[in-house]
Amino acid sequence: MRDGMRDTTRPTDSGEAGAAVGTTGPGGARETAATTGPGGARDAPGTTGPESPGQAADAPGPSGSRATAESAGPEGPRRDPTPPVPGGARTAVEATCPGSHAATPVTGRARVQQAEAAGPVGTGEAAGRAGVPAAARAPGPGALRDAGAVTGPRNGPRAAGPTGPGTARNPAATATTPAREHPGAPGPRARHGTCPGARTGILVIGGGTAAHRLVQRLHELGHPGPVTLLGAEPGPAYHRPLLTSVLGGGLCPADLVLPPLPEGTVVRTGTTAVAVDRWRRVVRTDDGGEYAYATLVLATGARPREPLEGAGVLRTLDDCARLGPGHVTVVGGGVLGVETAAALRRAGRRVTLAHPGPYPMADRLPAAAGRLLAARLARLGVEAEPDAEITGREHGKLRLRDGRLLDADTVLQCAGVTPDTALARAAGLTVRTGVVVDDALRTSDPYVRALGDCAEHPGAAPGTHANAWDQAEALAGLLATGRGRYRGTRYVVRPRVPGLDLVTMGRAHEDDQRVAFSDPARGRFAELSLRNGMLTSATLVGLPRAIAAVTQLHDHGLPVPADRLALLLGTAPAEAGPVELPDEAVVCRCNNVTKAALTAAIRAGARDLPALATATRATTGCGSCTPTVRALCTEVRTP
Amino acid sequence: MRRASAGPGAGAPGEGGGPTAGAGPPAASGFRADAGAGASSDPGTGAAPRPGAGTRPGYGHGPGAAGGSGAPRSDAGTAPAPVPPAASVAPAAPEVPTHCPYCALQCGTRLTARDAGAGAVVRPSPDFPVNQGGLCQKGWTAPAVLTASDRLTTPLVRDAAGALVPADWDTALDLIANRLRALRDAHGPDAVGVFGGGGLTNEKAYLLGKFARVALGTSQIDYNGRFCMSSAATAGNAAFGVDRGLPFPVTDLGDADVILLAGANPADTMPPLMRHLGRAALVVVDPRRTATAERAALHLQNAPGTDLALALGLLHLAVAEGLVDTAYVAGRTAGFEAARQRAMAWWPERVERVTGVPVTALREAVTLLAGAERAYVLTGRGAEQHSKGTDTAAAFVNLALALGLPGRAGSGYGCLTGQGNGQGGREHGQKADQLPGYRMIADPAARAHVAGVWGVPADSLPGPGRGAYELLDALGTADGPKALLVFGSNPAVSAPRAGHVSERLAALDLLVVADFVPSETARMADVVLPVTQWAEEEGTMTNLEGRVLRRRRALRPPAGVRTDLEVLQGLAVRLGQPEDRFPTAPRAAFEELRRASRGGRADYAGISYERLDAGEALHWPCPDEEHPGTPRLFLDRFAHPDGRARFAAVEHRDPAENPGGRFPLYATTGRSPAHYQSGAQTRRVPELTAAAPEAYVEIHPDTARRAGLDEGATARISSARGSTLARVRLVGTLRTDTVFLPFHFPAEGRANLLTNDALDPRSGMPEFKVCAVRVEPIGTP
Repeated sequence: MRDGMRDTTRPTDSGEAGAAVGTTGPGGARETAATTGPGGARDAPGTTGPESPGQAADAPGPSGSRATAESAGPEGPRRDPTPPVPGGARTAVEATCPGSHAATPVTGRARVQQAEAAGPVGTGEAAGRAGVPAAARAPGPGALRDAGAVTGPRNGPRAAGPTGPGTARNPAATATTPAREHPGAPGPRARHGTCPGARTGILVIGGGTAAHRLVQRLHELGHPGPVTLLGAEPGPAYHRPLLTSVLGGGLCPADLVLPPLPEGTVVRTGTTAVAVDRWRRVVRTDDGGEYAYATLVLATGARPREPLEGAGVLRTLDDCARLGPGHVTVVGGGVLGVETAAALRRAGRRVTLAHPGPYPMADRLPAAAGRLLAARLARLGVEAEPDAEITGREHGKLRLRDGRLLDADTVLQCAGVTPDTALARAAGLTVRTGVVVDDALRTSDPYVRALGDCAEHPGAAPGTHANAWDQAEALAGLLATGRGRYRGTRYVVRPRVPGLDLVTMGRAHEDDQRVAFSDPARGRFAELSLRNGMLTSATLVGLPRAIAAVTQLHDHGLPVPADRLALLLGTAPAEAGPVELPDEAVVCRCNNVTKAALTAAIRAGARDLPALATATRATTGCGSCTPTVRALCTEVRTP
Repeated sequence: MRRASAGPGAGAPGEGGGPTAGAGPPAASGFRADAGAGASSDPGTGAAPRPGAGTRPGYGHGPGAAGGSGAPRSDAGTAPAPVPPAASVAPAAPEVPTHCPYCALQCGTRLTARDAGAGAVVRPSPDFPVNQGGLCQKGWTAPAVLTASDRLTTPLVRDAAGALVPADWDTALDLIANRLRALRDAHGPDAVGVFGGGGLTNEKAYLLGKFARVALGTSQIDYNGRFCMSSAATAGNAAFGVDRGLPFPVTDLGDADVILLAGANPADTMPPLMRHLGRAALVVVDPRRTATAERAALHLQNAPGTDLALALGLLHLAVAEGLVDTAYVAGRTAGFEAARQRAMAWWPERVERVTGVPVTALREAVTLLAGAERAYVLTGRGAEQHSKGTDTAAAFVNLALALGLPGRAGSGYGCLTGQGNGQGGREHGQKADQLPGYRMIADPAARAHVAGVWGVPADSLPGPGRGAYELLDALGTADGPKALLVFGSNPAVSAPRAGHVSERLAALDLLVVADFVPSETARMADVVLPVTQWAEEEGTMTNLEGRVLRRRRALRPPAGVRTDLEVLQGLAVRLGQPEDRFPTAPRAAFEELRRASRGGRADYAGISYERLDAGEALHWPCPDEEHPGTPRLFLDRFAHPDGRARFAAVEHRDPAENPGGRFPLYATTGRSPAHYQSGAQTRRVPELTAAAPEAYVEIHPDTARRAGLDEGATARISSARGSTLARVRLVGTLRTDTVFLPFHFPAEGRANLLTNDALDPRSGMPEFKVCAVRVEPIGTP
């Protein structure tokens, strides 16, 4: 059982860089659609238009989804460019998105493309690399050229967008489209050049949690302009941190699907952005579409480091589904490796965790804590291969540098992720490990923001889920209200393994004051680093109450309580028994009767409970002081 | 008219009470430092006068002073001395069965009148199932309010000099009617507002709503129950199609195995309820380690404002652990998928980080609840009084539905209604959007039905008005009411952002307050109307389990006092209404209420005084006189047309205000065991003021030390909206980032000077339970 949920915070497998949480999960595209019921139905090419958020929730349709996955193949839009699109979803989308003139297809043609959008992205191997620079992939350059080419055929029927009257194909959309400032605006140049103010649209690239949360919060904060989201995966967005719960069997893939986005959001799943034209403020997609923006938000996420030959990764629902049989060797000593190994044990698999260093998470944990973690994993039945540096694979076995050979029917590599920055880099934005952003989450181009795993901010906690949430919250506020800033995210690593009470957070400094507690026989360990009474770092194992309390102190920048031992042990102040009660102690709260009053009444002749109740009203409220009053009665009568 | 504010400058009635109150001299502005001296009143603080023990008429004589208030008392701060047992009283007057005037439990009591003017003696009814012979200190001492030394016994009218001076009834009512007519002529009917209360009887609540809609023609009526029950009511209606606090009798709780209490502290606020919670393992969600939490099997001590995340996390665990009752969900509910999708974002480690509740405790809570044969989820104000209170209540409903509890015998969801008639008060038309019988005022069929009963054209009824806080916030503004009539409420103390609300009250052209004591709001009024209180009147109340109860008259009201129904008729007639449209006999009002509620969600048509007086236990709906009432709702179907309960797709969000910068701490507000609501009644009871004499703030010792405060010091607590003064109480079990203030105290001690007027978008509930503050020693600028 157990849910096998992974942690809120997903540190990278090797310290700082990269992480397991991302937004544009590649690869899983097909499987996502195939396995996620709700919403999956929507985008079967040729049957419906772009997804409607509302539908995503209400149309659980695995079969439809599967159709998406399977037919979204090679016969993508460019080969079969304009399948007739029955009105349904498409009309709904356009009708609910009247103001979409900015972050929507520049020429209107992309609306058509949406209908087929699931096609190219979901295709075969390309899908597995959705995060790879578009130019490096098949549809890339072609798509850019195609953009012009497809303009013709697609410009017609679906031109209901900003460029004008549209056609009779979509009367509903036309009817509900409010008057625009520039009804005849022909294209990006006109908009960009003559009327930048008309651009109010936000275009979000990325289909993961950060993008999803941003769009949701923009809506809740009342952002008035149109919002368009381009997601590379064809299926609906889902909770990547819960993938281990799927592996562990607690959740099924459909459980992971994120709620539908607010009505009015234009969502283009299966649409990969391939280039950003920052001069024209237009994003081109792999299916030839062009999307203008007033503000572009990059939420392209991260992708796993290049795996060993023959090794799987765990980044998408697809990865979960294609996990091989037999004995699984999980390679990686980070939190994802730990969670994955434990999850597979919950599912009854034989698991070996091969990790660098003497114990997992060795780069984060003090030795005593690491040993407790290793012991815990051992109790779960995870076989450990410490100090494992893998050099290759031979006959189904992994060869280590020291000559060891590990059985491995299936190898799952959890070796961290790298920010997906290809699009940003190609667009000339400043990129270090991630896309560099400031406190307003602005990139080097003020019209382009970035958040989540693809972004790099000095105060962030790279690769953690909390990071994406905090940044989405901050950016939504900035874009909707113009107020606020991103203040950083505190770094907390809390593996999602049921029964494993472990957390590590912050960064200690040399001269910090240390508070330590170690009780290995009972599986407990704590080490706090303090500066001026505030936490700088902490590691706790086996102390569930302290973990919750210390994490709050850390997150909210609160001083550590004076009684550190009570904090660590999670103890409450001891309560006095009746005998030690001082005279002024209130025994009956409901009727505010003190011990002194009871004693006096007893001495005055009220010798039993009913008499005392009559005399003092003690015990007549909730009745819970009855044992205490009875004890007092006995005690006072028999001095 | 000029009106004093409710602050320290408020006029206080002269010592010795009585209707002599004028605008007294400005009170000393210093914070009163005589802790514990509940018996040594200092009216100069602007606080309620605290009459000295033994100096008041009606106290200290009579052998049957079981109320304790009559017992000789040495001094405040000590426990009540033993008093003669009530049973030994040999009353001249008969014992009258009635109910306690305070909370929604409506504990059964027996009242015996003493000599004229000397109040009454109370004892708990041994046979009323809710309290089973128990009574809390407030209940035991309730008769003291009957003889409060400053009891209002004559109308007061503010004179040219700004003083409230006695007037006769005709003068007062004529003045009000003339002013109302003039304002209406000048500004339209919505220039007059009405503010009711959750302590009013059903009859009063019903006729108050009718008075507003028919005699005044105003849409601007709401009541203080908006500050109590509105979030749970909104969530309950959406989920079940009907809102009855407990859709089962309280006594059912006695058989429960597990009860989750979210933001409820009945051990302090309604102690006799605990008699029914003794068997169950309690799971208590509360940022404070309350008396209830002390008794819990499991206390989830979450950060203020995070109850919603917690509830989502519990639902997540129920899903992930395979504990969802899928047959029930499929057969009796709708909307699970969307709710589940929201909850999936709240895996336990994330919930732990946001709420501060350990993952292990979350798992234990769900395991306990799901493993119980009989389990209940109950919410209280702690979960509901937030700008996301409706969603929070809905999230707990979701959890209950996922586990298959509501509508199953021996299990369920409920909210613990707070005020005495908090249930009935929200059913009969004093709410801005409702008509009697829990009908919606925007519903044409409802309007037609009620207009028919009232004998007026349906289109003459106004539409929905402003919710309570919006109403108060609009007072005296260009498009807001210019006059306000207040019945049974004390918003100068109990409303959020009380300083602002006091300003709005002061900006009115006309403020009329009907009350039996000079509450802080009454002292601001232009006209004060003295009315009867609980033991002096007949009527019905509907308790937290939807059971309709008879309140009976045990003693004659003081001379010069009228009932609220008489006041309403007196005004209505002066406003041109036929006399018989506003009956003054409670029974006649109830008969009309029965007709008006017939066919509504809260159907009282089959309930009569005769049936109640014959001892029948009648829970609504009770559509006809043969109907036995409905102690348990939903056993077969929920009240939506398709019979299914609805999950709500809700998402957590932060409080409207988070600590940080100048205001680094959370403040949360609530009740002290000794006091009730704004304290207008309980602060007039010596025993209760002795137990809790003045405003206090609970602080963790570390936090106090850092602020330079120690036990007993006076602290200034400030938020972005104002500051308040309170005595420091060190509480080691508090979160270090949270302080707690009870909201019963007046003037500079008003906790609501701090609270945030951010409103729940659906229910209009203000965010009483969390705001950002700082704490410092008094004297700090």
